Amino acid sequence: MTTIKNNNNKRRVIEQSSRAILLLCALVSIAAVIAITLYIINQGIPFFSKVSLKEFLFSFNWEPSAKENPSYGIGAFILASFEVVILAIVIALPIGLSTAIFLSEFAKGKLSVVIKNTIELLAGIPSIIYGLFGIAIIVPAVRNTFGGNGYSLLSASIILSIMILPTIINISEVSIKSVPDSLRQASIAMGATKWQTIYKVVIPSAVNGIVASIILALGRAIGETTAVLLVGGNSAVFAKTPIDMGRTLTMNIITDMSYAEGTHLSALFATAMLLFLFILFLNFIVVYISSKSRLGQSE
Amino acid sequence: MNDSLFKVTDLDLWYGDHQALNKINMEIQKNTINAFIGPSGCGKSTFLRVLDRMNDLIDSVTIEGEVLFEGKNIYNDMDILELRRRVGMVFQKPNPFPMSIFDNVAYGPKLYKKYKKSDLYDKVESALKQAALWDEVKDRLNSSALGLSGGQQQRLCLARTLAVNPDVVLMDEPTSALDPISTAKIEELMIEIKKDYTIIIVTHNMQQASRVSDVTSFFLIDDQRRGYLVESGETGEIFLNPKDKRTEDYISGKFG
Amino acid sequence: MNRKNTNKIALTLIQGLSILTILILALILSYLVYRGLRSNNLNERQVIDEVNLTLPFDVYSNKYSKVEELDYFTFKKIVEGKIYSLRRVTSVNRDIKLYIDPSLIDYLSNYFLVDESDLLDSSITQFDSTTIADDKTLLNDIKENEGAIVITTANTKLKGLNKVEVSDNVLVVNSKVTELYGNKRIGNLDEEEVEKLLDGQYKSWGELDGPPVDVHLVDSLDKVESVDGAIMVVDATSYQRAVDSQANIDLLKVFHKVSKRNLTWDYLVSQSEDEGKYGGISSIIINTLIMVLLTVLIATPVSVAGAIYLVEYAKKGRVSTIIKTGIDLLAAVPSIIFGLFGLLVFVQFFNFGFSMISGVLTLSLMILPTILRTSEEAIRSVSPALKEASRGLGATKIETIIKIVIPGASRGITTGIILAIGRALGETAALIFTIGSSTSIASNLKSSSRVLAQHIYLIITEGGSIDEAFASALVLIVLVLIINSITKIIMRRK
Ligand SMILES: Nc1ncnc2c1ncn2[C@@H]1O[C@H](COP(=O)(O)OP(=O)(O)OP(=O)(O)O)[C@@H](O)[C@H]1O
Ligand SMILES: [Mg+2]
Repeated sequence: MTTIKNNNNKRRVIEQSSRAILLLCALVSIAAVIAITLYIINQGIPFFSKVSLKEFLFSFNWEPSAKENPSYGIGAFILASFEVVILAIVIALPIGLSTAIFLSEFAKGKLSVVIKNTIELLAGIPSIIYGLFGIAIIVPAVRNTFGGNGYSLLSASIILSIMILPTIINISEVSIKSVPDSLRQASIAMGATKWQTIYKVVIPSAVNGIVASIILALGRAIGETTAVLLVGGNSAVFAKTPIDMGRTLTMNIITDMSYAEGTHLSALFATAMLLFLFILFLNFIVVYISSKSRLGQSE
Repeated sequence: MNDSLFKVTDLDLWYGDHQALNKINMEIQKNTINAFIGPSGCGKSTFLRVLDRMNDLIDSVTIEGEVLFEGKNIYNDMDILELRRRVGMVFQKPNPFPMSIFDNVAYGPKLYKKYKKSDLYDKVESALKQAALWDEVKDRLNSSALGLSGGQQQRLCLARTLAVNPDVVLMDEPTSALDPISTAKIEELMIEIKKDYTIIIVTHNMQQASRVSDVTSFFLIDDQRRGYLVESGETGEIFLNPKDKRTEDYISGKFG
Repeated sequence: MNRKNTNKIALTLIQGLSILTILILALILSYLVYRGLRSNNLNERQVIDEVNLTLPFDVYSNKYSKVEELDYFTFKKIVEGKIYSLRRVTSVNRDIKLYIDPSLIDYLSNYFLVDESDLLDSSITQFDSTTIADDKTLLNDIKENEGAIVITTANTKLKGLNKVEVSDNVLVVNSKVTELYGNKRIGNLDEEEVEKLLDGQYKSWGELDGPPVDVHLVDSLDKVESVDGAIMVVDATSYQRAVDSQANIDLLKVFHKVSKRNLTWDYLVSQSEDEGKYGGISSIIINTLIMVLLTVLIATPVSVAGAIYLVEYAKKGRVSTIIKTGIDLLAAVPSIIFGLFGLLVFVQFFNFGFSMISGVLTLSLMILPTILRTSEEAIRSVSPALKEASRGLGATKIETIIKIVIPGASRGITTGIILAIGRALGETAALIFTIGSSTSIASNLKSSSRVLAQHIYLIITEGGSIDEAFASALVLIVLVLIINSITKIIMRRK
């Protein structure tokens, strides 16, 4: 009997301490987010004592290694980043939305299984491989179709559009599926065609989820580095058209990081800070949308 | 027969601010079979779960009143793990673990002590024998418990409970998911093990209550009171000449 | 009815675009497999693709060197000692070691137009072709020396070595042909064009972007020099002699299509050399596996523990919201930012340097949300009845979790781990600033190490061979596909 008593005391100690350990583990994520934020800010903030925020954001002049009057404007990169991701969404949305509609409204049987596996595989392909594929196929295709040397913001957008397809499809599909069947039946019963039902009833009812999918895709796209770096040309000069070579925020960070020092280095962290800010902002929009529509963020 | 095992005084229980039990007073004697009857939602399960503190798993529960087990307050003077060992529970739906038959029964004993292989085997064997399952499973102790029939699974759950040598076995509608033959087997078992254990069973089956139990308690819920005990007494008395009109109505099937 | 047509068109379009996703994937995968297995390159060559079978000597090379053919000009430089490493020939990183039968010296010096004394250089091993087949020590020496190139008299049979074919025919033209005309100049011809040219199918050089001069097939070098637009095939020795005597002739270069196996077994199993520029990727594959293994070992306990806390302990409210927000945000952080964080914290602050451990810790944070979310779902779906049964027997909460909940959720947890492995395998940006780039096998946690995805990145950005990038990419994608199928199999068994 006493052994059982002692044993029970030991069990109770384990019970208490395990709870604390589990809590610690659960807090790792938030701790990491906070640490990441603090470290990036800590490295980026000193930059603004040397260069004004206005110059940083709006100047198109990036000459950080110039001996005299180095300049640290990332305006061109901000614009390029947005240009690239918006173009990517424009390309991906028709395909992604169609696929989501197809999967939720029509697909039964083999084809839908194949498409689902396709999406999973697309999501699993590493960015570096997308980049390599881009160099070998997309860049020459852009060169032959639009001229220029092919390394361009457009090439980056095309690669990104493929990469964000799974995000758009998966999240849109969930929200389209959750549109109640009664709505569809009501519409069909009034004599609407399937297509009319889709674009007048189903899509409007699922619009929150679709918007959320687009924003999450934006977040993924704007943070993508390797793939766009390989095909985007990485020229620090402002790209006047999508056919020109350009540099996005992420490309700017990764390119100079290996050798930058002093103000140049903190300019890169300031760039990262801006990028991080964009992404936090996009995430809060998604949280807001999904709390409004109670659509879980099921990525 | 004045060997009180449980003594419950003025027990109130709330789920959040929703009261489920109201001023319950009850004594439970050793080596008896006690049946709890009453309409759905009147708090039978809740009360049963008070007795081995399973309600502690639900955060919103608050309890007032006193529950004594062998004279000790189960909330203050007793080790909860020890209480749960001595007060076992068999649930409504058979819920064997997704393990082998042997491991299911050995699960409890292994929590408390390190056993030698042979001792553990003896324990498992005797528990399965008590639950009248030994002959049916002795050749496949290592196959999955999920392969047993519903009735066998429920007897396995009983064996699992008995394996830790409890004093009390709580059973919440243990046969409601079983066919009549399996039900009869379980009822037989209860009577058989009564000499070693105190049994408390919640049931909606009046015949079952009258067949197996020594003492019957009738719970009720109505507009005035939530989850209260109407009367409690020897099963013969309760079924043949209940003191309370409400008990009579319930037993004769007038409501519930 | 118009409405019906719109309906039909719209639905067809929807289906078409959905199928497009399949085509995109098929294109990517098939192209990767194709480029991974074969390389098709246009090599610029000075000789035309015709093997000289009448030479009085045979050439053999060590199998490892991959030398299977030599053109006259490369061979000449090797013999002269101007090319001393196989790097410039087959990109195998070995110094060349020449073995020459001295009875050939007279011929070779005339053939390559080099001094006999050069061929008697002390670094060149001499041997007798008639007895070499029986000279075990010499043969072993050759087989062990990976840069060996052996010149024997014709018809000497040597086993276990590559027979090297020598091409020494060149296309020479009158210098008018290669002159700049307007803003155009004749470019390299491909083999098909050469064939047509020698067949007389082109009348004027203009048809080949050259000057508007007629094509004349001639049969002596004198004529090539004197007739505008003249062309002839001649042996390289004669061409070289003419050039050395300032003849006014030019050589037309030819594109030679080389189609060969790209990813080979050798590439998989051999060590990489010279910071990944040569050799294979065995050490890189091993590093990749070490990296993935360590990452999973670190991330899994933390994520599963976090998931358990979230499901079994956290009450709905502040703490649980904070934890969930943390997970969502961490999942949204782009890998480049993880890379910077890893650089600041693990590489610099903890002073781990560019090392395996820095990379692994960075990646562990990155894949944490993946495992946590999948585990959370799996843990949530463990039946409450089982947990109650366990608690009813007197098990504590943590005992119940360890004995009932985790085994019950193990399939879901495994799925999460495998998904995370997939992510870790393909990650580049987070590793570039953290894990280092050394191609040798990581001997300890602090050694700089290179993994597969990052290797591909470095090949491309440092201007290595694109074929090699594709070979490595094929290996990577195969690993990813395997991981993917395992996930599928586990999930299907549900
Ligand atoms: N976990 C819980 N949280 C909140 N309320 C609960 C919970 N469990 C039970 N209740 C409420 O407590 C009251 C009593 O429930 P209980 O399950 O004890 O009734 P019962 O007599 O066992 O009914 P039945 O015969 O249907 O099993 C009911 O009103 C029920 O809704
Ligand atoms: Mg009940």
